[in-house]
Amino acid sequence: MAQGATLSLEQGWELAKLWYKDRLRGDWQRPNLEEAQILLASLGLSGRFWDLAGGS
Amino acid sequence: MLQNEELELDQTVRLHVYGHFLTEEEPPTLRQIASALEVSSDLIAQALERLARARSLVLRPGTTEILMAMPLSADPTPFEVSAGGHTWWANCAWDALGVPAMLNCDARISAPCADCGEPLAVRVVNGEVQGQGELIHFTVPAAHWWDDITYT
Repeated sequence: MAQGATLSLEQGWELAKLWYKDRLRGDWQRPNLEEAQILLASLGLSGRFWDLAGGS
Repeated sequence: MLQNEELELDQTVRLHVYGHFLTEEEPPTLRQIASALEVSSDLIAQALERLARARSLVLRPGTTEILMAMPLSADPTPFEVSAGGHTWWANCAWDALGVPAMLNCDARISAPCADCGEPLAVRVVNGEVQGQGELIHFTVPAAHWWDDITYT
């Protein structure tokens, strides 16, 4: 399989919930870079691959 | 138009896009949005462009046609999501799970295995995901997701 990162189905579901649960709220705004990085880190997604600012 | 009015219009347009996409299983056109909201096409086009710049929607390049209202895709993809009598295409495996996450509902996800091509069936039932040990593979590092979001 190609290089990259792999999540279990359960991790993917947790990520999907965090990312999309508020999408239909009227006041939803896309998280900024810092907020998005915190969100990823809350699921243990850290390191160069998950660095939104360009660590890889 | 004042900045607050633009923000308000953008939020109204964004929610209308999602509402239409969810019920009609395809995104609305510029003309449909303008007609439904009784706002000029010029102002709707500007709102769509602002939403695209903010990465809240993805437009087809050089147009005001909606390609993605994440997690939903206007174009067919391998990731089909069914819920509540509707079926949509999602942009990727993550987005396929994003549909029931966004709607807070049960759903059935059909997708081919990226490794062997065999069909996979994943369900979300009562807030829990059910599968057979499937893995979700990300090939593009996070910093480059938006370099080519369609590929990502």
